[in-house]
Amino acid sequence: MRHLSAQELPELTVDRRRAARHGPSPVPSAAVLLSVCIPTHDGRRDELAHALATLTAQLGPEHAGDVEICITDNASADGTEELVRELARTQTVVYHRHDRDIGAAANVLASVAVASGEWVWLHSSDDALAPGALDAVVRRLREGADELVGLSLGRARMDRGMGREEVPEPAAVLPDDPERARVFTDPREALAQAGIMQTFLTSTIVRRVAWVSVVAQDAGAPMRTTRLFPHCYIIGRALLDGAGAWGWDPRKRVLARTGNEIFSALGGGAVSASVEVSRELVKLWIVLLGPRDPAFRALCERAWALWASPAWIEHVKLGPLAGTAADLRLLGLAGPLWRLPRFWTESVPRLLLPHLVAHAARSARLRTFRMGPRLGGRGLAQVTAELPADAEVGEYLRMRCTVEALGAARLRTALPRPVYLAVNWDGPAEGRPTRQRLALPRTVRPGHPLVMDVSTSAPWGTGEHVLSVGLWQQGVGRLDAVDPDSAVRRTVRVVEQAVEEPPRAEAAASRPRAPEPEPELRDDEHAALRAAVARVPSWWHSIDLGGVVTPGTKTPEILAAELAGLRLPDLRGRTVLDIGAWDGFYSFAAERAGAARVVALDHLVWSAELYAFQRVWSRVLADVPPGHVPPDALDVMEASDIWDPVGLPGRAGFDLAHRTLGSAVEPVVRDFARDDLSSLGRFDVVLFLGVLYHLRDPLGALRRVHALCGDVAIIETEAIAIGGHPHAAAAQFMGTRKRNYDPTNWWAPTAVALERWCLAAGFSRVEHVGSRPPEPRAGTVSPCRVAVHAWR
Amino acid sequence: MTPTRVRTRLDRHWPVREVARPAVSAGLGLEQLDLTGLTVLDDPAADGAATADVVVLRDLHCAEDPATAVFRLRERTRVLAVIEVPATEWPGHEERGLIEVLPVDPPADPAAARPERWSPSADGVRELCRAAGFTDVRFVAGPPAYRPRGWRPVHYRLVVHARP
Repeated sequence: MRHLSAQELPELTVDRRRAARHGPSPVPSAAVLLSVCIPTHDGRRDELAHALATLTAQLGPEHAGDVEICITDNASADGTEELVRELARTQTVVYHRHDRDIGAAANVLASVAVASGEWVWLHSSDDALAPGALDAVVRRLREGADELVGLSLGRARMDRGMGREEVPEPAAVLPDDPERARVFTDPREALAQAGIMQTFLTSTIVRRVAWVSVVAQDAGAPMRTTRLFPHCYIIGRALLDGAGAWGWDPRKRVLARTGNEIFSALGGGAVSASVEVSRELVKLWIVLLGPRDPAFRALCERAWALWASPAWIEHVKLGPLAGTAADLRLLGLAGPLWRLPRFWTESVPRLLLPHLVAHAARSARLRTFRMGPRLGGRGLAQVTAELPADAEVGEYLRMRCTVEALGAARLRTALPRPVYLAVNWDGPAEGRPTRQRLALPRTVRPGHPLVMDVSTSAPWGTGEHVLSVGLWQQGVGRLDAVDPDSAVRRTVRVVEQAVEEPPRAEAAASRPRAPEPEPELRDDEHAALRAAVARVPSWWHSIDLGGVVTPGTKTPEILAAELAGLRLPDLRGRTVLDIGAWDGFYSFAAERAGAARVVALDHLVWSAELYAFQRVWSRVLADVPPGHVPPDALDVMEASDIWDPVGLPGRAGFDLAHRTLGSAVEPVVRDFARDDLSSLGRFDVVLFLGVLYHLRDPLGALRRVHALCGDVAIIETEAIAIGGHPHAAAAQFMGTRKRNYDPTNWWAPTAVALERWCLAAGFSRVEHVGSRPPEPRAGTVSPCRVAVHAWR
Repeated sequence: MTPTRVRTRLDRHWPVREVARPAVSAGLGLEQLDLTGLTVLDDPAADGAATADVVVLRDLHCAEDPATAVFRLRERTRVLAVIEVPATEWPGHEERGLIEVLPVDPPADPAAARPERWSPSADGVRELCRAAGFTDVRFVAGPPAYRPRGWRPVHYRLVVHARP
């Protein structure tokens, strides 16, 4: 059991008494308006850090005392505690770490139990807030929420990297007429319209007194009713008890990360997991509404459109997963299958094919027995993996595992006996990570081994631990009990960390290092440097300052990959201009590579501090009426009080790195797009990295690069690949639809278009470097990065 | 000269005047509008920084910087901007804001030469206009109907009416 004590972390507000019992806390006088409740678990540290970064970037002095952050931690061993410790220096945080994994749903209830605000915003630890969301929500709660018991917020479904919006929200998720902000006063209509939306944590805000009153009636009812969505039970019960109306805000206030692990955690495949989700919700809605309620039927139609679509039903009926309990359940859900036109146009003709008829017969036979193959004999499976011999406490360990089926056995992923890859730590219980069961992404057949990349955290207690990677089957248990080959075991010696550094620091050792003034720093110098780095409000680059790596948004791994992909020419004795230098990673890299003279040119990000601008921009966005285009971001920045082209608050990181490294890089403050740069002369090599797509006039910008370039320009930019048109020379103009919510983005060319721009700007030859652009399927586009060497 | 007045959907927002000017060339969708009393500027590049009620931009595809060209168009337009441009559509990507980049050899005198540099899609022009501050963007001619397009890029003449 690992609690934070008040002595360890005096800045944290820890209320174990309330958190420990997972029950409601008494509602205090509403001093705190909004509690952002974030339940998290092991392996979510990076996602949580991103979520907290987007949240705290929107927290200004005007929110002091109004907003608190409540984090309940499901016994994670991945450094979440340290992350929260850092956060608690600047924000009001309530943190509780459970001594064991109590499950995701119970953790949601626990996160509300430690909250004290008038409203609770359920926040999934892998989601994030859209710019301006917090201000808009606080304003709504203050001014127009008297009649509400809660509200649902619109959300953008982002990809796993949260870099771009992946797919639009399906219509079944949204209320009818989704673009209109509404208040549902009829509780049944509220459930019918917003019942699906309420299942998504981060889109849901609830009045805490209503939550408390439901839990006080029967604290065990939510978990008894549904093990996946107890918060939906509480919301539904509060609505039906007449606690108030439910609101719908159509603006995308939430950035939801798609592709999370719920499906793999629910039994192996999308089909069976979708059945689980549908079943849980149907069970919940029957308890709340009854089976004959029109709202119940409306909700069922929405759920089936989302999680058990006709395409999946056909897939299960006719595909390789037939004959399992999953499709029995699906077929139970799919009563009116014959009403679907494609049943007659596709399913029936295909069923007439002989091999499918045979398959259907085999499937029917399996359904009769209702059981899958049961593994457990010797020589059925083999797992190989390279396990480490030593590890530091809390260290992330990555393993490549190979799973092979031997003999005639198949390792199936389907219910009712799916096979999982199990990662177990044995040894002292203190700080030991929870066991992991990872669903196999596909059925493993003899002769077709499966390779999986698995990561786990080393335990937080030192000593000898046994790490085993093996197979586990539902209803059977660990297979290595009878088949030793189906598991790999190794004793791992876990030792204390050598030097306390940010988690990313250890990976920096493998990347090219920036020039270091001194090989070793004394402890006091080290501490002073760490303090100086921490005082810089924001870092874009991760730069190794000699034992201390700056905590940049671009991690050392990303920068190392980017630097390698650029294939820089030999810079020894040459002059280099780095346009858009920011914190100067590439300038220092050029200097380290032996360049005779390096000039770091920047203007925009040096004249304003990044986080301050994000706060300003959030407020501007919040004031833009729906349907109107926000003003130009650069105009906003230059007109705001954070704009300081003399004091250069954004150059603090560059200056610190420059000073610490003893660098001779010459910083030049000029506006590349507007100022006359002829006085700088020409440079052998010009680095134009990640700047082009921020400029409204790309051709003019490349002409300027050409004018400054004596030999070669390295040009790297955000780009797109157009599915179905791999050789299209086109550029996407992001006038109002800004990618990554970055208001300074304007253009994303294809690789061919970038080449044409360079040639039109006067370069004689263009060579593509880096990885090949992706080839998306027809009708889709893929964002990517492209880089070229353009020769004068 | 008294033009024939044909009411259109734009009439709701259209200022009605009594004096007409000669219509600009045909095919820009202006024949059906009442231009009575409005000033029309057909070649903004030749007329300095003058503003007009109706401004016609025909050389967007030759502009060095298409975004700035449309931003300037917005500054000079009081009522209606008309953009006529040879356009390109990539089937399946009608909503991407794409603009084709045409190959251009660097001329000896960039100021004198006016090669064709761009061929925007309809959505690309819409994005340019919306970013420049036009709130109502309508396509008067083009793009072609979806079904006959196939999968190859389609080239066509695009006429856009944009209102602030």
